Amino acid sequence: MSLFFSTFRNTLTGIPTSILPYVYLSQISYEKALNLQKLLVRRRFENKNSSDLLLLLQHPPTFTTGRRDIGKTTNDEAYLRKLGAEYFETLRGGQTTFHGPGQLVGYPILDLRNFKLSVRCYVAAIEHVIINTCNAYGIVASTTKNTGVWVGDDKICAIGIQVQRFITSHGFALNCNTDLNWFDHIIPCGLEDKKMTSLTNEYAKEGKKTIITVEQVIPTLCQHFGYVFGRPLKPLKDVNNESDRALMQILDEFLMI
Amino acid sequence: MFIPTTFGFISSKVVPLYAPTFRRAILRNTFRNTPGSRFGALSFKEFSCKKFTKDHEWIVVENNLGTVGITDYAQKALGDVVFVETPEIGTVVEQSGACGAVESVKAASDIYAPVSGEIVDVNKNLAETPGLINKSPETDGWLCKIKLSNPSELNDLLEENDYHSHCEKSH
Repeated sequence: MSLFFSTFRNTLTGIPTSILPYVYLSQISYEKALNLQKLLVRRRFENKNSSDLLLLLQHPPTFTTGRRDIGKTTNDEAYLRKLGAEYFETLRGGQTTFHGPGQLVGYPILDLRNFKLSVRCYVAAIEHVIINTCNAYGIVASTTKNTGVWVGDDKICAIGIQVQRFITSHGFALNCNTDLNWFDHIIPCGLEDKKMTSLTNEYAKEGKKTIITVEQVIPTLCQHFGYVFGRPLKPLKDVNNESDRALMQILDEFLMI
Repeated sequence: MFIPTTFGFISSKVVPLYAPTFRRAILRNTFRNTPGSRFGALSFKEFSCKKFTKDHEWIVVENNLGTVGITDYAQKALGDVVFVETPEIGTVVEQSGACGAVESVKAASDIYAPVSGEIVDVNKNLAETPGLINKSPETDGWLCKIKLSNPSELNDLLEENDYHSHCEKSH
């Protein structure tokens, strides 16, 4: 079990204030991102001095399901692949969801011991980051008894995490201007009576025609991530220490393959 | 909660203060190989002992068979458990190797084997009632049983009071 028990506050205290690097990978296949996460998590196991890192990216149309549904979705997979999407069973928590262009996907690769966070509090922290990001656009978001972030009855951000020896992987998926029709082909997160929404869709409900893109949201999300987790975020390429330069090199080599 | 011992259950409110010395004293006096001794020449490790890992798993070993679960501290930090992935019977695990997972709040947390050995049983009740992990993490919510291949690995694990100290330092 990889966890600590801690009371969560809006801004965590008593934790290192060093820079938390992030990198935006643009659009990358789910399989490649999954392999990258495995590489980074293994690197964290083997080298305690290696950095935490926030991966931000988009995926091509991809459906994924979580740990409890492994081996149970063969029929769904065949149907969804016919739509032209990829399909992956994963070891994260949560059930079936969709990733695609216009959705800001975040994979924090963090050592929870650095933040003195329990698993429960870590998920709550992610939810707070997303809520604060939505609020920055004037969209009132909240949590419910179902994990994730909601605008009224509609889900705007899904969360699904894996924790291995205190190291997190997988993460969150915030709909910015995602084509929500993809979600009609599944029961998102196993909740039959719930719909999905996006930042752009919420603007449209108010009569605003502005499209909110992933690239526009990233700086706001990083600001609130830094605030909630108590460590300012900086692009990995701008962080000037040996550990992060080594990380940059690993990413460059990985992405060139 | 009540801690199982060779002599029945002891309240956890009493055990942490003196359990190791209490148990050692009882065993020294009871298991001497003296004529008329009820227990003859039985060795300590043939009786149940409870040990803990720093990753918040517990193991109770009796007759080289270890029952494994996650601690009350762990279940509180996880939140409501909605799914438990138990290892397959027959799987051979190494100490600190992954042997299942527990899911709560859309987070799947891996569980690690406290000792090496073969999985000989899993708690089938967890498939229908994963909340047993929250309700009875150190009794009815056990995860699996391991036939130990290297009992000396138990020496690497924490006694109960050391485990509680470890938890307090983690805050």
